[in-house]
Amino acid sequence: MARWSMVIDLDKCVACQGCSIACRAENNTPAVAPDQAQLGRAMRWNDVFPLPVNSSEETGVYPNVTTRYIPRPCMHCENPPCIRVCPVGATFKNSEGIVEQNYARCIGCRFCTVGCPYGVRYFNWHKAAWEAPMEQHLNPDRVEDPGLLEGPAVRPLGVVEKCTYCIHRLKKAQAQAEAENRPFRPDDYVPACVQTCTGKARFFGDMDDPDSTVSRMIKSTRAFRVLEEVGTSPKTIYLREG
Amino acid sequence: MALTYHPYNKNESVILDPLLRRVTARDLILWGGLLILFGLGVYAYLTQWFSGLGETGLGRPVYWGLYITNFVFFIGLAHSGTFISAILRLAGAGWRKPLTRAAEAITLFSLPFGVGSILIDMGRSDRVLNIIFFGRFQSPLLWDISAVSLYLFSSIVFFYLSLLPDIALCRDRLTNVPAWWQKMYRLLSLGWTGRPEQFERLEKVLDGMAIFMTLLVVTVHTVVSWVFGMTVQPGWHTALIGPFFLVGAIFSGTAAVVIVLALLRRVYHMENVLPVNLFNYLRKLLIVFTVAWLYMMLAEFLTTGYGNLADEMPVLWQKFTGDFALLFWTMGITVFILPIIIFIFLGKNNIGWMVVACISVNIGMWIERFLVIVPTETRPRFVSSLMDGFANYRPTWVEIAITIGLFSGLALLYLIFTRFFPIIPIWETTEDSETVLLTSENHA
Amino acid sequence: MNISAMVLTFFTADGPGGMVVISVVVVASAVYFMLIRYILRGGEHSRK
Repeated sequence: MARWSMVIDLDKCVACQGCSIACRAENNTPAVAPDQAQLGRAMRWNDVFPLPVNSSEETGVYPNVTTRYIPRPCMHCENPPCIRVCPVGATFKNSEGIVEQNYARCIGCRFCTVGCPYGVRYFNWHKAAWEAPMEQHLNPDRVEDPGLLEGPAVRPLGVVEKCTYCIHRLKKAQAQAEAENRPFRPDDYVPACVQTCTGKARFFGDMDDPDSTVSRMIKSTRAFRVLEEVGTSPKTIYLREG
Repeated sequence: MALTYHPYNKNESVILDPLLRRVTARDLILWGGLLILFGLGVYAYLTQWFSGLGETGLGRPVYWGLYITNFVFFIGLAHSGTFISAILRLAGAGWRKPLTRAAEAITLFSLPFGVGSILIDMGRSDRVLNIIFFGRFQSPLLWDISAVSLYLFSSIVFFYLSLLPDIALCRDRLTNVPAWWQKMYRLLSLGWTGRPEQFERLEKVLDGMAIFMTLLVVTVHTVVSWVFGMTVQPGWHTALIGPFFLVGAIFSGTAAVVIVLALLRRVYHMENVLPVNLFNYLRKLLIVFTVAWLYMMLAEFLTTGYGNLADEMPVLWQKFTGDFALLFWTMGITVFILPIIIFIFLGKNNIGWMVVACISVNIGMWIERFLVIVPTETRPRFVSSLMDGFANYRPTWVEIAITIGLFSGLALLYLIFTRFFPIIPIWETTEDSETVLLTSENHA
Repeated sequence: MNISAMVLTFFTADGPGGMVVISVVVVASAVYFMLIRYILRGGEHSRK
């Protein structure tokens, strides 16, 4: 079985936010009104924001600005603090290392959202709605089974959602391979953000395969994990500038 | 016709008086007012039910706010009854006897509102049974639910058993009340006839349950604190959080008992049944608890501040000098400075001052619960504070109306209870010299 | 009989948590029912 990982090269990232927009379109994440965004309800499964995150740290004065930008999907940790605290198993890690979110079971307690140290989880404060004619252009892909609903499916009210490494694309690719009677190749599957990245800064693959791009990049001296000291072992790995 | 034995209590008529009072206009206004406030809370909740939790002021990263504060506060309030009843019973503190039922009633009625607060906070409370079907015992919420359910159930039984002989007394004494009311006493008294063996067994079981309830008090509030303590978030993930919550709960609970007792004493003219020396005993306990609470705060903040860890300090400064400074120092004054001054210098033999101090304590403790929860959420490790809409939590009318509704509901339930059942235990507060038993007919 | 695996499954699987809550409530109900009956039956037979 594969162990999916994403590598983001910050040297190549220009913070164009194409990844965020691709993610939003691919996963049917509605935009929120400005007043809702002011309340912190904007939903960005993939978020691009400045580092340092907190105003007590220095950002520098022009031209010696030290701000950098970082695109952040879900870290899909190997030791996720979010799944530990879920009371109903609505979020869980599958055998391929993807931390899934089941909208059909979530009770909206938001324990996982306060438990995640990276802040990658979002909540449906209102019923998802789009301005006309956007609702006619939703991605029809669904990952659905009895008692299971995840991925791009339009979320019901009151549940948690987050980046899934485009698990619907994985399922589609696996189904395709089976239908075509051939083995599934890791190259068949790529999340929307990786596919769209204008700077070709994002990479995706199986970190258990020593020959994959991501495996080779993870061995780079530029590679680092965010909040490594917390012990979550994130699988979204960054290459620092330089 | 069976005969029932009731221990003679010279204060019986005073204690039973509230049950025999006629409903006055003032009563109706009070109950009506509380009911309206409760109704407003229900209306606010329905708004939230249909539109979603977007009706609150919550947003990333402050995903938990007033509702979880209320949850922790009400569960803490519940510890008052168990402390007075169970722990002081084990300590053999006889002076506690008149207070036990009034205190336990606080426990009994505040627990459902605590549990209700969680249901109110859930995004999908219609799916609450998922916790039973798919519950994961790795989650602190499951520990919470198990402990609080057991605590609620045990409190009901403990309360009911302590009340049982007095229900039988009401059944036999209050023959002039309406038939439906009489029937309620008959049903609930379970055929109690007051035989010495029954009393013996009752005392034995209450002693055993007192030990169990004491263990439960420690377990329940520690487990509630672990909802926060078991995460990795700065300000929450501290080993001290269990004892911290426990001390706070017993502190605010005991202060609540003082307020309730003072009210009962005034409204139902129970000066002889609830003499000032009871309040003096509670005053001494409260001085100990106030200082204990200060110890907890010092231990927590000194340790955090001295360590100067990069993740922890932003949360600490948020409380001391940041967005929550006003609330934090208000809390310091209302929970510690004002009460300790009043308790030590003004509270002896002065119920009025005791009530002022205890109201101050409870307001401050509610703020303290809020300050445990929200400041940590406003300084997450990896969410950008430079983005729009970061951590500007302001509760909306929905949250405030629901909070007020919960407190009104508690007050209303309590008030109604005092009109149907004696709030002071009659069978437990008989004096030792009165060994003569009065009998009355059991209309079986 | 891999005990450690069983314990791990008990804590992490979906369902056992709910069973604990139900068991706690059921056992408590049974115990309290019997205790109340025990109390009420005190001295029942000695008088007959």
